[in-house]
Amino acid sequence: MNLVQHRRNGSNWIIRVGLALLLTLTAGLPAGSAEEAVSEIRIADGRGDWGQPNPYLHYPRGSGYVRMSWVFDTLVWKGEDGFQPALARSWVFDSEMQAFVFELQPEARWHDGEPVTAEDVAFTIELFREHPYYWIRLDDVSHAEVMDTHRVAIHLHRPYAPFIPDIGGTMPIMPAHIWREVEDPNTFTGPAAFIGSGPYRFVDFDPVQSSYLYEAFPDYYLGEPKAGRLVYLRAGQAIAALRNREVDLASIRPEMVEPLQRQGFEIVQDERGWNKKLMINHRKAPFDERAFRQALAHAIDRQAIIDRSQRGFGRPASFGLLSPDHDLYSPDTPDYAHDPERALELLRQLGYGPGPDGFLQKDGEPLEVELLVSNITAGGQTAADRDGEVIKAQLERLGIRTDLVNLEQGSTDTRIREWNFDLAVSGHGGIAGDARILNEMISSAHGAGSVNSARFDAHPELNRLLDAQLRAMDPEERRGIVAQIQHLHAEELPAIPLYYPDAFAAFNPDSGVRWFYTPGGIAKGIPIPQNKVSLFP
Amino acid sequence: MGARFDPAAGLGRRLLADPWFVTGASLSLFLVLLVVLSPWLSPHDPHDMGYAAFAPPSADHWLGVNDGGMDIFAELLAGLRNTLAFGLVTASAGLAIGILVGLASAWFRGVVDQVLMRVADLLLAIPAVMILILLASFYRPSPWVLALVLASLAWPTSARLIRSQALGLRTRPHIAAARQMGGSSAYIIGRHMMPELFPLYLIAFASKVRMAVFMEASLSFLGLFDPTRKSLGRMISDALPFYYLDVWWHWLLPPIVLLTLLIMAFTFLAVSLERFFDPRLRAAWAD
Repeated sequence: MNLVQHRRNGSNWIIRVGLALLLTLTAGLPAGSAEEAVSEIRIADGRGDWGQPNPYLHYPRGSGYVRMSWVFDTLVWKGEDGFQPALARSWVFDSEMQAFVFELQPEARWHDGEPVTAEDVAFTIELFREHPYYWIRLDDVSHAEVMDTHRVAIHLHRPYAPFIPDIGGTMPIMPAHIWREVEDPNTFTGPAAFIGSGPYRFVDFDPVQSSYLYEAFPDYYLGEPKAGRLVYLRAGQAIAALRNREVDLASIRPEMVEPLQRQGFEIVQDERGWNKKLMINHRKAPFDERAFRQALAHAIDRQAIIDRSQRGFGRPASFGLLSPDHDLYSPDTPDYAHDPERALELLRQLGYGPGPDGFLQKDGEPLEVELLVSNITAGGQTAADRDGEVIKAQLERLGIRTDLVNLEQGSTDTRIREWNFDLAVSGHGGIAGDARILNEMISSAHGAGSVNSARFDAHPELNRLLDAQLRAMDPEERRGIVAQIQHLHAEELPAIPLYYPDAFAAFNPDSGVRWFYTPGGIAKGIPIPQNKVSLFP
Repeated sequence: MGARFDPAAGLGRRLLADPWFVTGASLSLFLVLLVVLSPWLSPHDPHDMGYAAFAPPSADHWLGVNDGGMDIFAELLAGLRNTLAFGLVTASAGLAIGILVGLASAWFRGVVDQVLMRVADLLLAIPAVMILILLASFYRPSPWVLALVLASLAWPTSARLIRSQALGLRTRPHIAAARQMGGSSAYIIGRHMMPELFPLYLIAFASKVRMAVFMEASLSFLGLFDPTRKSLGRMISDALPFYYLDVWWHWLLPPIVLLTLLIMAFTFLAVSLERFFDPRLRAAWAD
């Protein structure tokens, strides 16, 4: 059953008359607080279905995680000013114990009224170790020690620098009294599967309408959330949904910024936290040659892609993968200027020369590549673009015959995962979050589950550095290592970062809720302006 | 029915007096002229992305420039050409199969007729659009292969129409005489039956073009063809996300109008030709 109620325009006049009377009666009273409760907040989403909101049922992309984050809280949480208390009101790293010690909020309750305890935290570690959750890796965690009802120590096998962003601020804490009895979490779909300790209770997901309904949890330990109900609606045309007041928040195209601003909507812009990139099948010839990948980097004019495909709304990406907005970004990362001559020279060194049809060939074999493209969902908005057309034109100008294939995003993801591709345009966030994203997006040891991971293990030094940055608890030491990783990534190019599209969202300020893009992204680095902090009282 | 109907008698005069035919033929002629004259009408390469995105209509770009920096008018003409070509190829191939099957069924009767008509029944029950979507999604064949696949699914309606008329024709005295004089099956089908049923082919052809054009536009709208291939459906799909800008009237509207005109042209022709040549509707006309 779809519990989402739609506004009825037919009764608008009754509401208006009522409001007018109310305004007349209250005109002499002092102004109310800006923090007044809102009955309902509606968020638009271009795709709609991101799975059900628990760790085992949501789709493994940022929007799926955010759907879950309303229901399940983590130990700490990233707000506008960095990490802030969530289920843990304080935390400290004890270097002697090699453990993070968390003191939990004594008022925290599960949605069924049970208290949240240190046992739950310890159980969550066990649960995710036994039944892995895609977003969390616990290789470096030794065990969790319950120190008392509200104090828990998470011991590490070895130093782990990204612990707070990667585990403390991302791992949802699960209720032991429910999940202890569950044999297979992947098939557990009953109402109890959605009992969390977050600010909202999950009420309904309508797979036909792709709408989600959440209700505020009045006993939330940080106070009752601002909005009584939270609704996600699938909306193909975000601007129309905003203008018609069907939704309060939507990701928008850059061209919508001005018209919506004129109509009183507030606009927020993301940092460079999401990048389009060219996935390369470096396990097969000719892409297994570093020089070939470098030739591609010289052949592709990224500014032209931004100009033609994004109408100028974007910025070229760093070849080192980490966002220039990141604290650990290295400005010394090598760059590849658009230089078709240099690209041809590299290809000539690899034995390629022009064939009778003008296209490149080697030993009589034509150089043909297949380029996969999809309508990628970024920030809750699925948008078609012309990246593929522009890249194809650029490669063909160089002499590389290119077969452009448009597939549904899931099909492209599957083909990339199975190494059944040459080149593919993909994209991901997280690049302004913790630098551990480099491990996930480069190495198969860390990112084998991610469709955007290059899974590049051919460079032992790069892999050594990736491991070393995780152990560097000294920030300056880590900065140096991360700079080297960016340098090597740019040299090796297991994938080619293309550009950061300008990302905007618009919201209705009359709703009393102020939305923002989280610096560094939500949790591990999700660049979506739907941080639950916005609805905290 | 009254006096024997002779479809050829005063055909041109009667067709030109029919507003359906005149409208359909004029529209078809206009669209074909647009395609034929496209190299002279628009000097721009429809794939050239070198112009300023969202430029409004001007003397150089009659319909302005799209989001990718491509001339919309050049794209429109290329899209019309591809969409129309898809329709014509599908209709020609589908009609050829329909004629062969319809005449063979009517002439040989018996097992041949039974088998062919059951295959036709089966194909009529299969939604062609689903087959095409699956094929296009998984195997990405060229548009020509898809056109032939669509033709191989779309012949049953024309085959049945032709068969029903050929069954009557088969018993006519001149066919019987040809048989008496030792004419082979191939000779009688090819020399007598096939030409005599010609008006039915026009009806079937027009309705198949209409169906194929609509199918091509739908598939390209869904993005199931090569993204660089120009098509009216693809243009609509590209323009829709920008409907909120002031570009709808010179970018979104033209492909919709052209597609509508294309479908209307062949619908009018099919309706008109049916009124003239389909024996099932002839009685009303003759009265």
